[in-house]
Amino acid sequence: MNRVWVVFRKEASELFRDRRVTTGAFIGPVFMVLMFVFLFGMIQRQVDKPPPPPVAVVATQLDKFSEDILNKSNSKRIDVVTMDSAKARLAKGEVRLAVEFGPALEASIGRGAKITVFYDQTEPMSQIALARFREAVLAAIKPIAERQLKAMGIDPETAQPVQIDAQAIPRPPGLGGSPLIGLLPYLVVLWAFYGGFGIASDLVTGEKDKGTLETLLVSPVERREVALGKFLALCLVCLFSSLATFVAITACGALRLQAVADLFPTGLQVTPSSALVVAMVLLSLVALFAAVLLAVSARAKTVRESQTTLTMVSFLVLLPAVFSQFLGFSGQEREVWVKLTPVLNSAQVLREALLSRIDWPGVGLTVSTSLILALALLGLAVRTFESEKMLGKE
Amino acid sequence: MIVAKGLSKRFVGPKGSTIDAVVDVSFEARPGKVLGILGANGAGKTTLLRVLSTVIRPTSGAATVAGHDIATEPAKVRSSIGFLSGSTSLYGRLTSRECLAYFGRLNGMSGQAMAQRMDFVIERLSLAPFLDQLCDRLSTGQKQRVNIARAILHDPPVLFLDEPTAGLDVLSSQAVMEFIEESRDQGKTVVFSTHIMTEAERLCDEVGVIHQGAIVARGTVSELRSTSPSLEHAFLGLVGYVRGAVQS
Repeated sequence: MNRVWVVFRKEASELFRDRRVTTGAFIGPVFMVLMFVFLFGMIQRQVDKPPPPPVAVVATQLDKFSEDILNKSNSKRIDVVTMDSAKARLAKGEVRLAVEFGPALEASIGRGAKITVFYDQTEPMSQIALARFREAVLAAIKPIAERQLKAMGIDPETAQPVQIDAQAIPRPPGLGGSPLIGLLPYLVVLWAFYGGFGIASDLVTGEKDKGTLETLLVSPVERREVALGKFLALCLVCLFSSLATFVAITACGALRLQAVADLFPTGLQVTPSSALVVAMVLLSLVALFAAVLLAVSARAKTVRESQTTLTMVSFLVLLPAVFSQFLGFSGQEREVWVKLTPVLNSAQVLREALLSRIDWPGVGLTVSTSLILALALLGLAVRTFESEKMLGKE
Repeated sequence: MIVAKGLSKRFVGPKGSTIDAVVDVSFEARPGKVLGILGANGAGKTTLLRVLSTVIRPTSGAATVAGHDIATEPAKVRSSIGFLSGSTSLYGRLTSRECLAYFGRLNGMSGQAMAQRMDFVIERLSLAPFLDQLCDRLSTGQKQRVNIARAILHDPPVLFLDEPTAGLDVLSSQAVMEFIEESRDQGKTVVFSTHIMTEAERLCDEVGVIHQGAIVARGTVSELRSTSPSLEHAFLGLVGYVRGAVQS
C-alpha cells in the first residue's frame, strides 16, 4: 500500500503540472457550465416572457371583439389587406402568424364563428405564437360562448363555439423544407471547424517537433509564403469537411430510403441564390476557422500545447453553434447582435438561405465579420511565423 | 565564400534574462575548403549557423554568404546554401521523390533542369531503391541520404553542415564524410560544425574552436594540436576543461 501511495503521489504531482489537466479538467468544465447556464437562462427568460410576436392581420373586417383578442394575445399587430400578403410575410419570416377573423366574430360565436390562422412549422416562435393566440381566443370567447350555449340548452363542454382553423404554410421547397433544417447549419459549422482541428497541430507545431520546419525555413521560401500556404491547406480541409456534411445529408435524401423519407418532404434542391449565399458564408467561415487554427498552432511550442489551446478555443466555436439551435426560441434571430456574433451569424444565415430567405445586408455583415476576424488572425499568424521564436528552440 | 565580421546573437528570456549565444565571431571560409566549427553542446555552433543561414537575425555584426548580405538579402543567401543538420528532418508522409521535388520547387527549379538534377542526386546517393517509399519508412541512414540530396539538389555553392553525423551509425557517417569531401573537391565552401575530433581531423582545412559563443582559437588542425598530444587535448585545454569538473 505504501508503494501505491508513492506511485499515486508521483502521478498526481505530474498530472497537475500538465497544462492539459488544469485546462481540460478544471477551466474547461467551469467555462462550459457558466456559458451553458447563461445561455439556457437567456432562452428560458425569452420563452417565459417573449417579446410581442409580430402578427399579420387581415384588417378589412375586424370588429371590436377581434381587436380585444389581438390585444390579449400580446401580439404586435401588423395590418394587411389580404391573406395572401399576410402569408407572404409569414413565409419571409417577417411575422410569426397570419390571422384572418371571420365577419362579425362576436355575433357569430356558437354559430359558425371562424378564425383562420397560418403559422410556419419551421419556426419555433411561430408555433409558440400560435399557442398563445389560441389561449387568448379561448379566454375571450369562453364566458360569451358558455352563456349563449346554455341559453340554447347545449352543454358548452360538447360544443365548439369558435373554429380556429390553424394551417401551416407550405414548407419551403427543396432542402429548406426538411425538418432537419435546424440541425444542418449546426453540423456544417461544427465540421467546418473540427475538420481542420485534428490536423492543425500537426501541420504547424508538428513541424517544429519533427524538425521539418527548420528544413523549410532554410529554403528560399519566405515565411509569409509558408504561413499562407498552410492557411490555404487548412481552408481546404475545413471546407471539405463542411461540404461533406452537405453531401452526407443529400445522399441520405437521394437514396429515398423509407426510414428517412419523411425527413425530405420537399426534395433536395437548393436555389441558385441560396447556393451563392451558402458558398459565401462557408468560404468566409472556413477562412476564419483556418486562421484561428493557424494562429494558435503557430504560437504553441509543442503539439501538446497546441492541442490543449485548440481544445479551449473549440468551446468558442461550439457554444455559438449550439446556441444557433435555440436561437429560434429567443425570437432574436433578426437582431443586429446576432449578425455581428461570429459563428452564430454564419449558422443563422445558412439556415435562412436554405429556407430561401435571403437578407443580403445580413449576409454582407456576416461575411464581413468573418473575413475581418480571419484577416486579423492571419496577420497574427504571419507575424508569429516571421518571429525568431517560430522554431521554438531559442 | 563566407565573410563574417563581429557577429553576435543575444537571446532575451521571458523574464528579461539574456543569453549571449554568439559573441563577436569573425572568420572567412573559402571555396574548396572545409571550415570546422568545433565546440561542445551549447557552445553556440547551431546558433552561429542559423544566423549565417538567415533563420535568425544577428544582434550585431555582419556577414556575407556567396556575396549576399545576410541582413539585406536573406532569400538570396538561402538560395545559395544547402543546410544539413542532425535535426533537419523530412516529411514522413511524402515519398523521397516527392520530398526532393518539393524542395526543388521551393528553390525555383522546374522542368528539365530539375529532372536532370534529380537524376544526378538519385544516382550519386543511390536513392533509387527507396525513392518511392514514404520517408517515415526509411532507415536513419536512408533518411540522411535523402536529406543530403535535398540539401544539394539546387547545387548551392555553400554548404552549412551542423553535426550532420549525429545519431548515425558508422556506415552512414562514412557516407556523409565522403559527401563532404566530394563537395570540397567540387569547389564548394563548406562550414561543418562538430564535436567529434576524428571527423574534424579528417575533414577540416581550418578549425575554429567555439566556447560560450566566442571563437577562442583558429588555425589548421596541425596548428591547434602542435602544443598538445592530440586535437582532443588541445580542444579541452582551449575550453578550460578541468579534470573531474563538468563544464557547461
